[in-house]
Amino acid sequence: MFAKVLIANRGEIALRIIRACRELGCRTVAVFSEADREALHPRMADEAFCIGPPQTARSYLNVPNIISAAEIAGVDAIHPGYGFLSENAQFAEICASHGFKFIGPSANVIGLMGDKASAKDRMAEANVPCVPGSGLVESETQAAKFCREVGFPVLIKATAGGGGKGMRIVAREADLGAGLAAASGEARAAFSDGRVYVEKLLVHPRHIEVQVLGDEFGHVIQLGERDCSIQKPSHQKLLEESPAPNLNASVRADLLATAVRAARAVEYANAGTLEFLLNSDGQFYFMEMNTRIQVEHPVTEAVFGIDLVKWQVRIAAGERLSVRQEEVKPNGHAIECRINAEDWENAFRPAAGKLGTVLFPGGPGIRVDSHIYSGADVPPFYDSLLAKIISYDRTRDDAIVRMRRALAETEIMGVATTVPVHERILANNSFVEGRTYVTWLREKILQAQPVGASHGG
Amino acid sequence: MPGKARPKNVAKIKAVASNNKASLSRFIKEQIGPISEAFSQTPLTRLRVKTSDGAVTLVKAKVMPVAVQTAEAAHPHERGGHGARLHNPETGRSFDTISADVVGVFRDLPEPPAVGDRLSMGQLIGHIEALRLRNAVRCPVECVLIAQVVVDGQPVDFGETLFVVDSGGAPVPLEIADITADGSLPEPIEPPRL
Repeated sequence: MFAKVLIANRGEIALRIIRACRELGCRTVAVFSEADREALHPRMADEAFCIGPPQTARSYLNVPNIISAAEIAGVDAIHPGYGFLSENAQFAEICASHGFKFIGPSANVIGLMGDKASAKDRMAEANVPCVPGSGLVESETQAAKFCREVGFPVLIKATAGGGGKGMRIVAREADLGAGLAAASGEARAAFSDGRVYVEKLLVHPRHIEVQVLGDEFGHVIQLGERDCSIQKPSHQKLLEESPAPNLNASVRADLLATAVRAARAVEYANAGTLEFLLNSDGQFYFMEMNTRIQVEHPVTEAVFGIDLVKWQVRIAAGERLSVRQEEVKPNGHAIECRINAEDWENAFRPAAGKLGTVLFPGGPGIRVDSHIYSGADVPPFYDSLLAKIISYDRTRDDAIVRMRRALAETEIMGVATTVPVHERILANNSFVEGRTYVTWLREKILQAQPVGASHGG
Repeated sequence: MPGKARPKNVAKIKAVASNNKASLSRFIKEQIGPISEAFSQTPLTRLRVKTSDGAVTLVKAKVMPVAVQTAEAAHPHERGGHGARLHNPETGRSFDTISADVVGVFRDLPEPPAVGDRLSMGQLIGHIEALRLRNAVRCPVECVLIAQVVVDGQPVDFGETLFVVDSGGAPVPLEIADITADGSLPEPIEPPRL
């Protein structure tokens, strides 16, 4: 086991990693920016280094200062957390070249899975279904042939695309020619590149992801799925749960087996997540792999009774994953609400400032992972996540009731938070019935909110 | 044992939260003086003190030149604890600080500037070694050296105060890099291992 670990991150995940290290008997080294002098992670760690001014490019992404701090502190390993440098293959390599174990998969795997095109190619080789695409459209006939194979509706996308420019939904073959011309024209105007391709359009898909854990000896297990369909219009997750509600048993079995096959195909070592879109017809498609610990890992920990962050450290230290697939069984249901400093009624605009009173919920079945406290500053430079509240109970219905209770206990003064939008989600019938999909929040909660309603008294 | 496992209670006049120079100099005058007096009487070699205004770690230097004194004649100290050198209750002078812009290990020059020396803008006054590179620490402004806060071999954080200087009220550029645009790139200490 490592004697000392540097945590190249901030916020709740830095605390989460410090806690795991402490339970494993490793000493911890925090790094912090000048805006985080009074934050909890430098206070909780055994040692702490200021690595730069508030801007992330000069502090939490400042590789020379982080490596220099690691050298001065004499650490064995560096845990990158999520975000920042966690999926930076070059950083993983730099750690290795300075003799620090990067707590995560190999730099090669990070690089391979970090590139969308190479990841999809590799997954297709491993027989992992990806959203069917036509490749570059050469002619309308070729596009029409592809569309007939995968079925309408389809989505035309610009190869140079971004920001929705050059995108067209086509519902029937008669409209294909016009759609191609319009998308291509728009793409040419926006990117000076009129090339387009066609993809099968998924209808109200759900975001379902699978947690995997692999060691450096080729042993890979899956720890069930998480449903992360409740997303902001920006596709950022807001509420996650495990297991996924209303998931057909054979689809689940297929999904989990596919994830393990995918992880084995790249000899995945450490914790990782394969994200899939589950179409309303029951077919699922690989989206991407996150080669790091995820924000929503606690719901898996609750249901499986496994400490994922401790396993990350153990696996990086060269331990064998002693848990066999047959030994892990999901038990009960867990829900996580991300409490962000955001004004959900104004397009989730981030809020910053000094916090007033902060009171977190407690009691049976509630876990809170947070780095804030009464009177703390919420700096404007970083992610707006303030806290994760996780409720756990024997059934989904009970976990929902418990989460409602926990949110009612939560008090965070001084900034706008996402607590009210979570309360609406949890009160919504179609959520309670488990009938959600990636655009559900926008369609059922945000658009149902009359504009200016909050100002009407 | 420089270079390894720094204990948590080390080394910094943390620029007061606001980074406000006036409040920093007040902090130095009102708080560090008395603390360092007491510290110099103890057998301790390092002491970290944190107050609502800021935090300071006092480190006793192995060797401090006895003769150096500021123009305002700080009290000479038998034991040479350099924190004491900052204390000058009689004058209302405010001091500026030169701080580290990288994380690394501070190194004295073969002939380090002495307290009381007049430093010129751009003058080399030390190095910070990081990742086998020697980063120059240059004086950002015309000034008189009041104190060197760090000792040779001491690990330093970003923003950690290295020197306290008196610039006679001239503003000290925040970015030392601004005045070293003549191209003083870090020099390798040894060929990098890859």
